[in-house]
Amino acid sequence: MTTLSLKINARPWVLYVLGAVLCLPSAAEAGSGLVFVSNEKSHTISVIDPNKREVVREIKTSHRPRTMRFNPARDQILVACGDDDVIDIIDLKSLKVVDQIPTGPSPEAFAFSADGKTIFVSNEEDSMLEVIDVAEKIVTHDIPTGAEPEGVIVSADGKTVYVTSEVADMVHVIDPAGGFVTKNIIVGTRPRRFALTPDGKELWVTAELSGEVYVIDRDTHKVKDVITFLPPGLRPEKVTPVGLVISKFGETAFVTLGRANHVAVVDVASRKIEDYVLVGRRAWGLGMSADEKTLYVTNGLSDDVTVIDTESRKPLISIPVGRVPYAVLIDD
Amino acid sequence: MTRAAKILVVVMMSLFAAMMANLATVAAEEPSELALGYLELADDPRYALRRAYARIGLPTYTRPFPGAELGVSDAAMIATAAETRLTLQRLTGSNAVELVAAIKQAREENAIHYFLMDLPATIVRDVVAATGGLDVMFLNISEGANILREADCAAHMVHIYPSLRMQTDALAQNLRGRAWDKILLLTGPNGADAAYADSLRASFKRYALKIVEDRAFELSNDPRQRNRNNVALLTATNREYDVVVLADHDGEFARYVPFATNRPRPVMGGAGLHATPWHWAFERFGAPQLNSRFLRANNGRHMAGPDWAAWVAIKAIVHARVRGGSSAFEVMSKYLRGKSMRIDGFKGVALNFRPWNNQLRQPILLATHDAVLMTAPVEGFLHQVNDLDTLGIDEKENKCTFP
Repeated sequence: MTTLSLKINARPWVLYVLGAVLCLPSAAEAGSGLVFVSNEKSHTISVIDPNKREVVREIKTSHRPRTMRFNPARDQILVACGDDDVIDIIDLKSLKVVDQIPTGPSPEAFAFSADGKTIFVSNEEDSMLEVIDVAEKIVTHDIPTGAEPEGVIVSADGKTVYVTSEVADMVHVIDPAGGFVTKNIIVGTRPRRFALTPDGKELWVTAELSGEVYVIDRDTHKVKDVITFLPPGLRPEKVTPVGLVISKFGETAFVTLGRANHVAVVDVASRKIEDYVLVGRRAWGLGMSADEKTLYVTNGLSDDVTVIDTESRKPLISIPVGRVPYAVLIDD
Repeated sequence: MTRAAKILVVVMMSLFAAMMANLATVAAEEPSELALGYLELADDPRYALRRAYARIGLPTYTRPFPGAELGVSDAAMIATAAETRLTLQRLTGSNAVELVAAIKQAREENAIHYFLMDLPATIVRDVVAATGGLDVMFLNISEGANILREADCAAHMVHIYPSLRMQTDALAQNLRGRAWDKILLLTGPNGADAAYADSLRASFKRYALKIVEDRAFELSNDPRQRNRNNVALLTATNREYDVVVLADHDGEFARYVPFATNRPRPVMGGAGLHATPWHWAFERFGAPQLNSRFLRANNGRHMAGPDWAAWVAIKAIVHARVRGGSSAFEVMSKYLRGKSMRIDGFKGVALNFRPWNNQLRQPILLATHDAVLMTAPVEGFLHQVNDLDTLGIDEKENKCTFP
């Protein structure tokens, strides 16, 4: 437990990004502070300088880059490129693609195993969770899922992998050692992404088309609570939650609301929605800085990233990036 | 008569067995069966192979059964989680009488209460009229005729396929949004062309678009009929118009109209921009994955509107079974039509049925032959209750009554 809380304190946002499996001691070294944004339609990653609040570099990738993760050594970024069936490996120093890992058709999301040697990749085209050995670059096995698997997260102890199936409206609970689904939890319509609370007791999952977040108890694998969102002046059908991140001590969750063009601020303990922050069109992915002062939100239909001050809960600026920005990853 | 009704049983049991084995689901109990039917007409004229000339194919429509098959395989996992086993039985009849007999037999022998309906409007009307009072529900997956949502509506029939009116409203919204409000309307000689033109006229009226010329065309080379068969003459007028709209169901005439008009004006309807429930080039809301799953399973055939509707129909039934919490016909069919339904039709919003005529609310795509240019409701078109109700027959204009 001690180790776990230390890890969490060191790099809270990684909870969202890597499911708390990747926080290694190198966390003590400060990163470059750069903010990386994958652009689905321009096949690039925009690199934002957080101080200048502008794009300082574009990294060319394979086609349709989406989910990004740091490698365990934290000197590379891995990015799933859906239209070329590869995961590109980007060197953090040179900011260039230096290597690739072939995958099955249309990789969208992936997560590292607890030991960092394996990645679990959701292939939305062939309804599989692929298990890939990163060093050997080979698929060790495939785990069948419902149609169009999307969000992937690994528990802190590495013993459980959770995958959403967009079409089957469920969360698969997977035993990665055995390589099979142990349980299916029916959630809302079109489940998307996950976050784990820092104590590891709750799994949060967004349901895009029913406009909800499902809170799943990890001990019983039962749905504990359902949070619905409705920013003032909007109709329920416009609310399509996708991305979410929980703060390091587990007090606050931030949820992007898709076509409602807002980010919801939720008190984790009470499930109460405290605020709605206006962002750009179709708020999708998000990332929080290590000091938890700044939130970066990708707006897929306005091709920009909105920077939010988490204290005042006000949008500060929107930075133009590439076409259809998807995910955010911060090197700090 | 059961002999005449050719019954093809497509049981997907092996598929589920394989899936369940793979999943090692915790469900130990015997799953309950959810048996579904699929109705089609043996010589449905809508699927006749049409050729214009020199073996050049006109837009033909293919039976949408593969859409239902994909729906069953996509829904298998959630059905399994809900301890339900799906089966699909294909029932083909050569007329309404045979179909009604097949329905009754399937209901009695196989406990089938839900039927996907791929039938032309006249057969739909007869089948529905002969089955009132039975505990069956029909899901129309391919017929857009407005009359089925008006005078010929029925409480035990829901429409997954959008009405013609929803499609013509979508076209009209786009025109209104662009202020291309002066229209030259050309209508063909077939019944389907006239029905389409009527729906267009109602939509143009709703969106305050003006028909400056309303002309009939015919497909011929007769010089005495050149005012009706020559595109340049048909589109020549002293009145200003912004767009040519073609009511041409077959599209044989329409394909010669773009770039041949008297004035440089865009063409819509039978050629050029058209409204459709689904399109193979739709690139949002997970559509590419659905399209490519369909393509792979069907030797490169693209998913069309009725295929999509068949796929959605299966989803709707399974959704009602899983979320409604009961397999009892009364409860489940009520849930299916109710406002708690949230079907993911891969068009970006959750879909449910209009209570006044059982039509599935849904966005309509506006597309050319190779691109989806926009979706309707077009941005800016708002409705006091649900923006999707800017498309099609709204509650205030409703002419459908359920007993």
